[in-house]
Amino acid sequence: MYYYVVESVSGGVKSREIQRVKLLLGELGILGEFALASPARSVEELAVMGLEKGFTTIVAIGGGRTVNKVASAIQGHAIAFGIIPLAKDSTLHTLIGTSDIKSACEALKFRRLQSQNLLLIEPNKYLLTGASVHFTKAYSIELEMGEFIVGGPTTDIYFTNGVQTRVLNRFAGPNVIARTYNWLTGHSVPTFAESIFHTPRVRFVTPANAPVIAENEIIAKTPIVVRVKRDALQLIVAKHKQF
Amino acid sequence: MQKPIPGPGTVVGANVRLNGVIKDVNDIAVHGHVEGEVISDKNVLIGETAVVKGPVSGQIVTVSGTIRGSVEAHIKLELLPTARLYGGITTKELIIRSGALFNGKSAMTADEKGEEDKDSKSRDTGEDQGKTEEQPKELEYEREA
Repeated sequence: MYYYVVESVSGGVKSREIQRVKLLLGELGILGEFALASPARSVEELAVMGLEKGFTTIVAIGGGRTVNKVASAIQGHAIAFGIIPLAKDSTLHTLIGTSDIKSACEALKFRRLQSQNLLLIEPNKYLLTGASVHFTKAYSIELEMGEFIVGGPTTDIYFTNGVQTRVLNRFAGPNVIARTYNWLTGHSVPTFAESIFHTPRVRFVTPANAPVIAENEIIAKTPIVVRVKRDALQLIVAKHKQF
Repeated sequence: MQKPIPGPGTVVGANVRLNGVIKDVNDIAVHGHVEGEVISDKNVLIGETAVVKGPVSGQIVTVSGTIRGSVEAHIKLELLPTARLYGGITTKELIIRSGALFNGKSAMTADEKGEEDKDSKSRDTGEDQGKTEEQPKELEYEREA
């Protein structure tokens, strides 16, 4: 009982890819109902319809945006969630332990399930992929992370669903002259510009109104509260995937 | 108190100021400024650019930055040449490299098994009659290279 949700397709290449997916699924004997998003029916609405129809496996076909939308709609339900990434170099392949469309379809057939955390941007944005905030110059930030507060000049902040927050200052380190001297003399001076923290909840306090980005889309603006929802999904992963 | 989260470890970058308690079941590396406790179930590295104001605790603690607070290293504490430590230390094994600065008291804790053996020998030979608890050896350092 497979239900496939596909983001609206434009262009011949994607249409051909979806036809190929259908062929592969047919060969594997797991061809189910296909629901194609349109201006009238969003990806989230289609995913909810799949739940209402009683499907036990809902599969998102497409990129990170489609996957996040379907994951958001079905999180917390006792069903299996599958992914068929259309881009070959997609990080989604790494997540499910596949390398191309064919191996992703085969993973669906074997149905090896893995409990998966989701990143939650409060109140209701659930993400399977990460989220990030970027500044063109170093801003003084303030992040409340449970028992401690982190501050300092920062250019990039990355949130992952593995309860990890990375804080980076691209411009940290020696000045241009010192960098040139080091480059000419072959010296390598570590800058330790990156910080890594593991907390289940982060409150991003300042600066305000900074865009929060997931899959090249602005999904929120600061201040935000980022949490990890543990075991929110039963994700179908490749048979050979190592943990 | 929040339960520590498993992961590859915590790193406090050189440009970061942190206030509060950092706790990790894995290694912690500090290169920035921390005001508060640093507690690891594994090892702690206080880098050359780090300034920590508060207690530090871990299995092996390696210091090349500045600490103003007590240090508890359950296995070993190593002060590298650029280290500046102002506070008491408790450890089993202490290494102070030439150039390091240490102002404070050190309490050397002996191996538990060794202590038990020593205690049983003392009881057998009748030594330490009337003593209820053995105090750790205490040394006092004040040196600057």
